[in-house]
Amino acid sequence: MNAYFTRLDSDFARELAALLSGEGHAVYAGEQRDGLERMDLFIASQDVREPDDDFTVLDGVNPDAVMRSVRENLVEPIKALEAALPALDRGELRRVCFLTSGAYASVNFSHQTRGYGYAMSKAALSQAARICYNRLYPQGYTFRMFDPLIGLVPAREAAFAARECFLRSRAYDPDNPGRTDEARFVLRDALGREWPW
Amino acid sequence: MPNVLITGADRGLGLALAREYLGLGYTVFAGRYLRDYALLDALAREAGGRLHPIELDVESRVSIQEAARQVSSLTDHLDALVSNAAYMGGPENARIRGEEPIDEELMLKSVRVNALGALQCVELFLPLLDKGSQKRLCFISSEVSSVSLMQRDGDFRYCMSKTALNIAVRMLHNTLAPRGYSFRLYQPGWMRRQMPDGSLLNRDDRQINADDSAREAVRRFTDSRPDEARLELVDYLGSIWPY
Ligand SMILES: NC(=O)c1ccc[n+]([C@@H]2O[C@H](COP(=O)([O-])OP(=O)(O)OC[C@H]3O[C@@H](n4cnc5c(N)ncnc54)[C@H](OP(=O)(O)O)[C@@H]3O)[C@@H](O)[C@H]2O)c1
Repeated sequence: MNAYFTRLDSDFARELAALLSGEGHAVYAGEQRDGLERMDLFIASQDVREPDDDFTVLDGVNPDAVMRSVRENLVEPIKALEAALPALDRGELRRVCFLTSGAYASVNFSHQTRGYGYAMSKAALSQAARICYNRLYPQGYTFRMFDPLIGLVPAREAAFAARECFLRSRAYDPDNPGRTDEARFVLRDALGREWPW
Repeated sequence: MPNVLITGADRGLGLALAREYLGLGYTVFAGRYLRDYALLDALAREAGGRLHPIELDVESRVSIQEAARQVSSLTDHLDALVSNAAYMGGPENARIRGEEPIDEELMLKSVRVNALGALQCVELFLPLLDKGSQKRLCFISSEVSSVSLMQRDGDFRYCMSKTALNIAVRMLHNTLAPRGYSFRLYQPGWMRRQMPDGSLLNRDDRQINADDSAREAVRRFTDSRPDEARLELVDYLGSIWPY
């Protein structure tokens, strides 16, 4: 299987890449995408917290930090998916994975007062990915929105959880065609919990 | 008499909201973005000095700062803010595997206007709002902000920007609700577009008129509830939308 990471710039992404290649999968990253004939697993591994995005509305908004977060966490992953589609079409798994954060992206559950750029980019990513899923699921694609719980779960453990989430198939009922968990678009974290949108 | 600032008030829902607030006796500071729409001027003439058009491009921090300065020269406080201005996302249907490649700059613009613009309006008008008696913050979102109920396979620029707005509103709520602010997050329904002469473009008979949506909105924006800590996306029928 060919696994592709948009970036390998975090401990989590590097741990996951090592785990996958240790299991005999071919791992590619960044610019290597353009030379790839076939891709099975696409992992948008951007997960950027800009240091100057750490303001509350009372401190004053830093619009540049917000827009930098949006470019990195939202625009880049969607553009990378668009560019990867020809190779994914030729692959077998056609699985698309995005990294996100339940604590920041969940409009239902967020307790955050800081990190507007990060939160807005990840919440918007939920919706952009959902719309891509609506378009691509009928074409055989499946999606994973995954929260590695950076800072709460050690990178190696989170990588193992991601491997399970990304590669294990989700429930389907052999007796009831169409009754499949892949038809739900969900956000799952490294502890196996689902977050509401 | 109370006052309110409404962004994107040249036409459509923003203009209808201004008219509704005037009817309740409010003084209205109406954000003007379009130069070639005369509807706001006509309403200002009817309003007998209670409607003040204010130049306001919510995509530009400098413009919001300038608008805040101008409003400060006319009043020492603001009771309510209605964030209505929106960039609809451009003419073509942005989608993955679409006819055109995804336009990065328009993705950024959607978030900059619809979510960051609303956030910066709150931030920069906060000194005036702090002195108001209502401390009411209202945001026009949309049914397309809902990830749970999203059925489209395109148009993602506009939809995702409204989801970004929702999370920004949640975070503002986390900070400002304990400081006495109350919030309304509104889904106005599918409305007919308003043309420069004031006429409405009917694309589908299921569409509603902005006047009807504005009446319901202002009723909700001006009421008070015993449970103001609750933040919900509510539509023009009073139904609650999931995020
Ligand atoms: N129409 C619907 O069916 C519908 C459904 C759900 C939610 N909504 C929401 O309802 C609100 C009002 O919509 P509407 O139908 O009345 O649309 P509209 O007629 O386009 O009104 C939005 C106004 O905001 C203006 N605007 C755009 N960019 C701006 C900027 N940077 N700064 C300040 N103003 C700006 C628009 O000008 P331009 O025309 O030049 O862009 C327009 O005058 C929006 O928040 C919209 O997202 C509408």
